[in-house]
Amino acid sequence: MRKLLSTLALTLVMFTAPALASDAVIGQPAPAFTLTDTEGVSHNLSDFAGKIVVLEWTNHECPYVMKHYDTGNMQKLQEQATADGVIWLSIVSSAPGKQGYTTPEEAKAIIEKAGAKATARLFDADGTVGTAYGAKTTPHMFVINEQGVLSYMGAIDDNASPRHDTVEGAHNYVMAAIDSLKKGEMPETTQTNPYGCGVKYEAM
Amino acid sequence: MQFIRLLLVIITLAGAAFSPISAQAEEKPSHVTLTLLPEMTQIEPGQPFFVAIKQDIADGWHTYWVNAGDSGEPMRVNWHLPEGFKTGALTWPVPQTINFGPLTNYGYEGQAVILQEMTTPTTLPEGPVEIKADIDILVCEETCIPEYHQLSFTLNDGSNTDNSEIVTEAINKTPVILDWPAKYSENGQGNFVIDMAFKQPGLVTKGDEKVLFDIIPYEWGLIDNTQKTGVWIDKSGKFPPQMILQKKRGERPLNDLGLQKILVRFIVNQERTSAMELTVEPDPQWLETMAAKTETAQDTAPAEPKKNQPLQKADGKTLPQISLIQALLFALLGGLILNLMPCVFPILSMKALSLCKMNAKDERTARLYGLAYTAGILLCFAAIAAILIGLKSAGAQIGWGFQLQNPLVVLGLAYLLFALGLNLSGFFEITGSFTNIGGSLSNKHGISGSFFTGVLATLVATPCTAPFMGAAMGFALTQPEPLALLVFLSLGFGLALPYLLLSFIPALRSALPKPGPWMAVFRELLAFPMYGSAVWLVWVFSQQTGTMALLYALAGFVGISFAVWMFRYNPKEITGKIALRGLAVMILLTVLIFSISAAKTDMHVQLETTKVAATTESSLAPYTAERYTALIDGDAPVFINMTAAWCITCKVNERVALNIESTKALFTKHGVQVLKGDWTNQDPEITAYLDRYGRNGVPLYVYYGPRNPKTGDRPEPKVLPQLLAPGIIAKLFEKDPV
Repeated sequence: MRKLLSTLALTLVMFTAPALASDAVIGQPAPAFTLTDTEGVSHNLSDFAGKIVVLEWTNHECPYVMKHYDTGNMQKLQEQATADGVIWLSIVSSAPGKQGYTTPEEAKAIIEKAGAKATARLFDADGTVGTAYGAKTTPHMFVINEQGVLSYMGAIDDNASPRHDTVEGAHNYVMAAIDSLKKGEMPETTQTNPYGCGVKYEAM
Repeated sequence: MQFIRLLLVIITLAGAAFSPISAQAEEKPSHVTLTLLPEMTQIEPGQPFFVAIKQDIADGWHTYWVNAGDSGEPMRVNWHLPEGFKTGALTWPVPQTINFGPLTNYGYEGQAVILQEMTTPTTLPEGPVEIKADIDILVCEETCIPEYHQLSFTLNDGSNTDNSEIVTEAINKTPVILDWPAKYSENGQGNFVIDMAFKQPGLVTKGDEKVLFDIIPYEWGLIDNTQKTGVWIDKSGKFPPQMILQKKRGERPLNDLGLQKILVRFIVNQERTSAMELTVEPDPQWLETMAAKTETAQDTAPAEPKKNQPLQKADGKTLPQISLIQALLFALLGGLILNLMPCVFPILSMKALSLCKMNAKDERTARLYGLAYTAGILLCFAAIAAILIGLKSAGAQIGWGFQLQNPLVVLGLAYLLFALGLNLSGFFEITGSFTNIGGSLSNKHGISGSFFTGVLATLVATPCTAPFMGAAMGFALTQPEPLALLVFLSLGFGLALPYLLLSFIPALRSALPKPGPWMAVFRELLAFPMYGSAVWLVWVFSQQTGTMALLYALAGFVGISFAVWMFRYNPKEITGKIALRGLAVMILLTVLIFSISAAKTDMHVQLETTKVAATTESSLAPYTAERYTALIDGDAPVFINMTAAWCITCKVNERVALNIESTKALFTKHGVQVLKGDWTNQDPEITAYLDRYGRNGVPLYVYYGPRNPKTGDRPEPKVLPQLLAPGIIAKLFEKDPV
């Protein structure tokens, strides 16, 4: 018993591994950030005060992202939302050399090819913003209300399959959250398990 | 004809070559090969079986567990089942932790076998049965590829393939499902904390290995997957020890999650990975404080504590617990049995016979006596219960039978029984006194006499109560005070019941033998159980103290009979009377003082020597908590024998079942380590052990089977009945059907 106890005591060492020490908490102000887009223009979250902001973590080579772009679903959502005055920011946290990392020029081609309708596509190659939000997957979605308060985070919809035919009929959490915020209410679902490929951060 | 046969062979071969068993996503290179292996290909109607889904994963790639962690997705299986076939849940092996940058996943590398339980209909279709499945599986290196596999297997196709070895191997890699009580909460540092009863430390390690623990929930968002798990054991000596695990909490609010299934995975010496699967419930206290906080902080509805949800019980036996009703019934029954005890029976008999002498017109008096007797017993039981409960709540490690742990009480009872015996023998009569046992009922002291007979019956019954009432008493003492009292009163009522019935129902009295001269003989006969009980108590006393104390105690018997003898003379002159009575009283006082001082001085010396004597017997070490844990952590079978000198059942058991050659031979053959706990005197460690098994008295026999060399588990401990027979011991060593 003595031995067992001392063994267990050894395992007590608690130390912090490199981690997504996320500052993103539902009902709290969303973490501030400044990122540059494909045109070299920098965007600050505070620029969009008074507007609903959607953050979409993306990686154009991830099969789960492809499910939503190849079916035209993501573009449709972006179009609807932006037409409604919502700011939609696609963020790429892939580190250089990792899947999904692109130059601004390559990114422009991807946007054009897909017909993406986001307000801007932002680069977070060092993963600072991804880490601050605890973005784990692509697509991992965040919705921020007009007061800058984080109101939804998690999956884009309730079907985690990579199969393209699962887009139709799925319940879209992001659109539901936007609808609620427009009505001045807190979304019914504020948190879900994000699905998809892991964000390709720089190895730590 | 020859040609047709050849054609058939060719068709069959071609069919086999294109059989979907080997089908994979053809277009792209696959990173995981899936194979469906039914436990056996030949199945019977209604027979459940496992299908092993074998994943052979390419080097550097991985697939996911139920909770994939920060990203990823577990395999999904969509079965196309013939009519009547049904599937249960998938059984997954214990996952590995796979890190990528700041993300942590739970999954598998190399090979993983997931089991699907399948039940078959009671009537199977004729001929071969093909079962198909569409399997979606995400396989990742750093990048992820979803793969879509179509597979099938065929049952009853004439082949007789047996894959049970693969299935067994897969089962061995699944978590051990336990029903140990475990609670979760969140602490001030934002950690998800699990507080669990660590019932079998030996399950994890024998103590000389390095063990790495980790919490892995089945659901997402409870923990921060990337953090390390902290572990410690509550060393306060409770059993089972509490194991506390904590890990930084995840993004979901924890106070709204209800029951959760979690794995406590442990890696021993960085090679052997295993896991315990537990159902954890939110700590009700923590939920309450959380609810109170949210209520005061804001107007939002407080989280509803899911308190009423019963803790899901998995396989495995829990310790025997009895309900209140059962305890009351046991107590009542125990009380009834007490009437037959050698110390109580004579009193009851004389009391009952005296009722027979009464005329029918004394009906009312008879009832009053019955009620008085009952009241005496109940009051006495209430008093004992109150003392016991009081001491217990004051923190004393005592249990029922505690009265007998004091040698003075034992000796006092022996003297009392001896005096009663003398009375029954006709050595003296107590006239006009309340303790008149068989005396005339017509005297006016009859009612108070009955009352004190009840008190007496209770007092003399106590030595007999302990061995019989262990379970009920143990239950009583763990209950809130009013309930505990109720159990004690129920016991007392059982003791009073036969006489009460006799006094209330004349028909019962008429069933008793008619009064006559035989009664005098019967009364004398009844003296002998009293002497017998006294002798036993003296022996107990000698065990508790020593030979010097025994000498004084025995001299006391002579003193008592001498004093009683003197009381018998009633000289006419008052001076003679005073002198005689005074002398008698002096003798009694001397007896008392000598016994007390002797008992006190001798007790400690004796304790030391018994301990030394016991340790020299190698196979029968005295119980200590330390010895116990050392043995339990080892591999050999362990037999615990909890006994006390005053416990007559224990002595009988030792004589007929334990200290016999066949048992000794069995114990030697199987290398059984025996620990004997002597509860004759107070021993908090033994009291604590008894508590664990819901007992509050001896005897208690528990057998812990040997550790399984393959799994490292010990079987559930077996609690033996309180009355042993050699067959019961032999049965322990019969091979369990596996």
